[in-house]
Amino acid sequence: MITWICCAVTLVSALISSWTHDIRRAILALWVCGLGMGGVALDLGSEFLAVTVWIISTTTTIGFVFYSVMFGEFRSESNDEDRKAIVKKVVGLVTVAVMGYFIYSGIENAIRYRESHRAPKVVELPAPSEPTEQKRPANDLLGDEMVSHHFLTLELLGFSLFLILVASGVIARPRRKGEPIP
Amino acid sequence: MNQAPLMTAIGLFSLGILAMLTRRTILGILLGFQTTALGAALAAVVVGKESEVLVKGQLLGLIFLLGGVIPLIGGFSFSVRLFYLRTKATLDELENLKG
Repeated sequence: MITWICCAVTLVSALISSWTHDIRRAILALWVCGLGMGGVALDLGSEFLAVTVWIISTTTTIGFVFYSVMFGEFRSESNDEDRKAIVKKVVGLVTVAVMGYFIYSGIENAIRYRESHRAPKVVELPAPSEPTEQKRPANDLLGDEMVSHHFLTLELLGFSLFLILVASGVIARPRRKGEPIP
Repeated sequence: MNQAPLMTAIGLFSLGILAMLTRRTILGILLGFQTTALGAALAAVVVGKESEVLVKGQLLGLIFLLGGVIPLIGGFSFSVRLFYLRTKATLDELENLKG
């Protein structure tokens, strides 16, 4: 039940975020979408990912609010005629619905193929004298997997984030007095 | 298989693409991009859960999320630069890619 509620909240807020002309509503809807998606991830057993999604969606929402206030974008952005805008939206919605259907079919077929070609599991019962192993927590396994098999990926991510921080400071510098506009 | 998380992931991805196609400001396009990244991360978790390798799915989702922050920061800085140069952050003047 909770999964269905979180999924419904996520989809409705994503729809509002992509459909509305009012940038304020779109930003707040994106935040709610991130919170809902974190709830779905939590329900699937990914606690670490859920908390990360909540943090990232909150900080990006703050960033969006900051920048939209700075640019004066805190208002409706559409200047099209109403009818043209509605036609554009409907065509776009139909196109992405068809694309979504193809993605869903692809994933469904891949999972079905894997299920049909999986070897039967052999269940081995432990001997009575042997102590059974305790199951490790999921975050423990995640940390092990990160450090042992995906360390280079994390290094690259961290380095790219550092690089983009430096680059954005250079790109977004204010124009100095006397500097010609290109 | 529980269909709801998978449908949510696909819906998020599709709605993000829709937002990127229909928005006319840089911030609007970044909104769509962030929605797409959320959908991709959730799809990775769902597929990992269904394949009984949740740890790998979770890790892939994390990589998608953190990797999605990088173009977001770049987009913010680009929009600031554009605002300094043109006093607005819309894409109307950038249609023909001339300076």
